[in-house]
Amino acid sequence: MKTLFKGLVYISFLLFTIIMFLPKNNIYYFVEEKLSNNKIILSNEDIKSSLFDFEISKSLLIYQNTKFAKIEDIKIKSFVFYNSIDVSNIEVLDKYTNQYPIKTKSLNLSYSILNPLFVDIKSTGDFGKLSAKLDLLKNKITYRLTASNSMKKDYKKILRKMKLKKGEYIYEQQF
Amino acid sequence: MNSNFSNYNVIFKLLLPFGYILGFSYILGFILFLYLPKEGIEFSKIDSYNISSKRYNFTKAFDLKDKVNIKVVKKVEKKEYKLLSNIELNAVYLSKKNKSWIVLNEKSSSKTFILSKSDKFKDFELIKIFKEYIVFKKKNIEYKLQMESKKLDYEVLTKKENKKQKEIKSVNINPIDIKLSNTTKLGVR
Repeated sequence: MKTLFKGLVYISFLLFTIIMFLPKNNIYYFVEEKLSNNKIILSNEDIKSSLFDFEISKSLLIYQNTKFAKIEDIKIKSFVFYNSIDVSNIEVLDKYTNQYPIKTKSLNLSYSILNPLFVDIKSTGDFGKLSAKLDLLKNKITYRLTASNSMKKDYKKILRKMKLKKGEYIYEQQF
Repeated sequence: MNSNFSNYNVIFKLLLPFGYILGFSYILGFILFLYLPKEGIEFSKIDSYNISSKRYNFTKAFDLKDKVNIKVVKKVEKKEYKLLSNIELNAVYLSKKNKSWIVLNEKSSSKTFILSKSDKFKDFELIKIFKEYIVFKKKNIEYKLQMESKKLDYEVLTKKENKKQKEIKSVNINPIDIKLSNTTKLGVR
């Protein structure tokens, strides 16, 4: 029992120290490189990294060489057993405003060791309230949207692709 | 003293594995740092075609002579309409002054044209009409077109027209030359 406890302590310490010494900026650059292959670029951003979190502020999201959105803040936190990404104030720009709701107040992605096969997604904005679950085993995301009035008025095209069930718009995406 | 040392030993023993772990994760982080990219990607919208560029002028710098560009200009020569070879005189109607007319046949299109004095046919002006031939004029050059003898079925003559015939004779026309070549200069005014 004592050795099992010791083992657990060592493993958790190892994970904490690995997270501490991870070159977070460089990992971010690596992810940025991978995203740019899909023509997604985060530009003009300020980066701050500390022991357990990483922050990207005032970034501009560029998709296919055109400005897609402004993102005020992205916070990535990792505590080994609980990890989260918090995005605040996303504003869709220019020509995409006709296709997507303009403002997203918050977007939260969380992964906990208590629920290891799923990633929880929650978001609020002009579109209403959105909750989604990412199934890591089936590679599937299920969205549940409580649409706002403006969403129902202006973005009928998006809602047409979703199924309406008990006042909620449901959409499943396989990847 | 011994108990103090043994206490330190116990603490050291406890902390040593954590030290190893710390060192291990630090080295792991360092290896990752070496492997991963050091700079991020920034979006810059500079279009290459907007950048102005100038070619360095070597000829000017080394006092070399500029190549002379020889432009090949294709001259398009207008084919002059060969009047005498293209038309034939079918009929002549002689009447009083300025009332005579003729019938021409263009061989290529087999069209028939009726002309009176001072009418124009393809920039050739009909200036004189006689019973056996007519005279066109272009750029001060007179062209004589004779009617083929077979087609001459009738003739009408007046005294005035005889006088005009004499005028043409004074220009020294050689009818044999007309037969040899299609265009014959009669004289320059």
